[in-house]
Amino acid sequence: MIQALIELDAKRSSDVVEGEKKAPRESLWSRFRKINWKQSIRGFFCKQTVVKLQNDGKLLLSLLSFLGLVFVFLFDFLWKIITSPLLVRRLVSGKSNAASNKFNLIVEAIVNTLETHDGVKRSFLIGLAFRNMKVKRMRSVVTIGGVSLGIAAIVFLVSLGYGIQKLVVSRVAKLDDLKVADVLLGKSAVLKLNDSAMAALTAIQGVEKVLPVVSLVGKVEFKNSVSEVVTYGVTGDYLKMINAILLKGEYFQTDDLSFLPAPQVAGASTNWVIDGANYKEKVGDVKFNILEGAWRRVRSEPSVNGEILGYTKRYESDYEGQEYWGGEYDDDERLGSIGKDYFGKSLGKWVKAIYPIYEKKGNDYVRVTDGTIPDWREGYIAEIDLTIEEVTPFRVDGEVLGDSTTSAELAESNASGKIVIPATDNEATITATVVGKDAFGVEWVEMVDGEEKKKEALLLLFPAKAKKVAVVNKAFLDATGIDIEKAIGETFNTSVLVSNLLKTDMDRPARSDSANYKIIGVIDGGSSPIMYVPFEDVRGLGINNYSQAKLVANKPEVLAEIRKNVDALGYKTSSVADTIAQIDKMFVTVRLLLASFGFVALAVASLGMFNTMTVSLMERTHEVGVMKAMGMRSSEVRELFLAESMAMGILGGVFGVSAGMLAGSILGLVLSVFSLTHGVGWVSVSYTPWPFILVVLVLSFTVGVLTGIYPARRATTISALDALRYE
Amino acid sequence: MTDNLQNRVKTKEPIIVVENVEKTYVVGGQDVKILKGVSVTINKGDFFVIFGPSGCGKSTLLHSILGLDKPTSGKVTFSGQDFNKLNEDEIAMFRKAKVGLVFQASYWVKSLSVIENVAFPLFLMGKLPSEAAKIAMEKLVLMGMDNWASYSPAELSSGQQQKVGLARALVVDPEVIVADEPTGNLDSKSGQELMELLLKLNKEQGKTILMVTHDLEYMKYANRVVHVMDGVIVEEFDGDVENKAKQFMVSKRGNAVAEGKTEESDADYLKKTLNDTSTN
Repeated sequence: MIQALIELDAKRSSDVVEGEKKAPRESLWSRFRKINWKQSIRGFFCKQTVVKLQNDGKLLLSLLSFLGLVFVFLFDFLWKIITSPLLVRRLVSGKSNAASNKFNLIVEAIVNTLETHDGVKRSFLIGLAFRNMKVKRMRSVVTIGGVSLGIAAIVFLVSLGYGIQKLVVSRVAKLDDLKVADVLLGKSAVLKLNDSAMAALTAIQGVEKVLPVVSLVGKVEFKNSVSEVVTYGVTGDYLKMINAILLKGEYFQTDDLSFLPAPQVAGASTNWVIDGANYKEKVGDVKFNILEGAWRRVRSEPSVNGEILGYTKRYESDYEGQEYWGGEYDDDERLGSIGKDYFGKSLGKWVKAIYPIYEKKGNDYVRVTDGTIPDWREGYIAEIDLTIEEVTPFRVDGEVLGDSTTSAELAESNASGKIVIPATDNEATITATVVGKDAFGVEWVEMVDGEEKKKEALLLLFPAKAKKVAVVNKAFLDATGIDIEKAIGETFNTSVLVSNLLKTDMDRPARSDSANYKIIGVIDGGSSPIMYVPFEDVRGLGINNYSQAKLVANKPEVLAEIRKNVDALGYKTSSVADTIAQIDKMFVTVRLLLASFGFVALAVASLGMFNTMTVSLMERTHEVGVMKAMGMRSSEVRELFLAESMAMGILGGVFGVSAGMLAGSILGLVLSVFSLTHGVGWVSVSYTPWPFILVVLVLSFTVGVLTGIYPARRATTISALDALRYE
Repeated sequence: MTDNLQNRVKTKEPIIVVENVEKTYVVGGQDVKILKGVSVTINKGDFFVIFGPSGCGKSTLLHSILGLDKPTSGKVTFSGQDFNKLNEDEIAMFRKAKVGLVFQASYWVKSLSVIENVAFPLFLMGKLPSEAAKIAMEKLVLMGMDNWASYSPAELSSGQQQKVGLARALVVDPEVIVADEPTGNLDSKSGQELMELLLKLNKEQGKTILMVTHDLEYMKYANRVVHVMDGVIVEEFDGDVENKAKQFMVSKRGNAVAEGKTEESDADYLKKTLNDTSTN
């Protein structure tokens, strides 16, 4: 008999599988079938294990489909609640019949696919569970209400936690701030924030732009007042990034490129004077090597006409030698004709060093030896196929020697009196008398006032094309006594102090000339006076090192990675993201605390629900008995009770989440009324993220299942007989 | 009527065979033997009555026959199935297909209406609601209760409830209808009505009916009666049950006359007597 039943069972489950055409089920089943086939060969007693496996698999699948059915019913139930008010019905009355018919058909189709094919229909059990809840309406409402209250407490409190966190974060920083990090110089003396550093920072993956900042001290004169203000040379983009509230006027516009003009220094060029070089003139000491596999001719003179002493190649350690101007030669990188002498003749760079000498024999190169000692000779090689590691300029750059005279005419009258600088827009010029030229071609100048002035601060001139506009803060206006209403368009006189850290070619701080700056914008923020001037203006003073830089990532997520890279370069970074990370960390604790209060409420509600389910079971002992006597199976009884508690849990969850969010909104509304009267604007203290809602719904469902398990299991132990005897 | 009964008895195809069933309960640490080796054979088409006083073990016997209660020893074979070899769920599945149950007080699934309650066994068999409702309505019409279909069962009188209960028992078209004191809560008129319905089913549809009662009045409907007392079958009547019952009553009444209790009706008297026996 058992045998027959098992076979019947197996047949049925295979029917189910084939009927539903679900791939994972099929494979599972085929696996079972395989085992079944093998086991039947091996012997009868193994069949038990097969049956057990089958049952386990079926149980899992049946639980899943049961869950699906409960959800379908819940959806149906909620849909009916939503569409039940007459108003809604009237609104959709035109299509309502067709729509509801269609809806019912869909529900039926879903139900049928999820339905088990033997015994009582699950949809009936779940329907019965809903009916039971409906009959004990008051009790169901109170129980679901209890769970709702617990869930609502959790949702409300945690949403409050999220909301306040959001509020605090929004007060600390805008969303864009999470993309921004300040790059600072650490204590390192070697590191510099100059143009190449900017380029290196910009090259880091994920960096959108790097905005340099130059901090200076400005002396501001307005009417009779003189005050010192912090002055920042920044780009217009930077001003947009700092989150200041623009009270009046506008920010200055700067495009990205304008802040990187070629560095121009008054007094002497920072670059090697390429024009006016001399043949066989030393450039500097170099460390270099020849590329692997390359052979270079060693000549006695730095010229292609020089005598070939032999050939040389890469050496194990680097060569040390000197770079010289020499004769022109052809090469790919045009180093062979990079310079010009005074007559305009092209010159190329050569490297002088002591080289190991080889002789060319056919296609091979043979080491030249003087007896047993390998031959080394001093000679020149052209800079082709070389890796030059470092150049120590033999001749240092020119220095600004002193104050300029205002006598521009003097310089112009003397053809050699003006220091040669490639003409650019942002050129700052100091006119001075040329007093001589040294052996390396540097023209030394003397300022009119001579030696005594040398010890004073150097004077830098604003470039001719300086915009001379400024954005200032309110404190600045207070300090200078400018009326805020008339501030826009007002001009003041200012000069800035430039540290020699910012302008490396100086040995001491310099002062700019004073210029009239026009206020074009006023911002809020900061208690000390601050003035922002266009970056080009200070850049035009010859500043080539920046105080710090603002780094903007293309999205907040990559900022951490970028900062790691920047730190690896040796810079220090700081970002609002750090503060926010701290805030977030703190609020995790706060939320946990709030959630635990909510959990207390939920725990109480769960006990209530457990109680309801147990009492409901007691009341229905007879009913269960009768059902069993009529042939209902234990598993079906269990499902009936589970369905009821699951439905209660989920309904409690749905209503609870709604109520919690509603309560949050109401609180926000109430607080907004106060804040609006105080002119702070809307506040939203409650924020419920979607994943959290999902978690809470799962939680409520779990509560439903957990509180249902015990009564459901107890229901299965009720004997039909006890039920009938019970009076 | 008796002719019909005689004819049916002649076929003698056993449907329920009870062999030497014993049942012992442990009450307060003591073994109480309720059934002491009962053997009964019920044939197809029988109107079989198990008769006896309260506490005599007739309900226990019925439960054993239904597989609701496992006997301590002995064997119950129902339609060829040995209950000892089936588990609880298998017996439940068997029961819902083969047996229609009528209880003393009809227990209902309170959240369902009359017709839904009648259709309940069909739902248990996995029938679709529309189909189940159709069959249930047919049975209600048969019982004359179709006007009450959408009521709640609790709104009906106990007589009406028992009719609905009978409709529920019939809805799966079972081979056997088992009725456990179906008239217990009814007045004599309603009881009469119910018994007529059962008889009609027995005669017209050939349903095997197994009824447990302590009411001698309804014995006349049966074609076979067993009298159970203290866990053993003391008497078994076949065939002319009506006369046997009368004889039985008269013999009991004879004792009563001697004690001077002649005012009571036969039935009332017998009931009382039997109850006395059980308390002794």
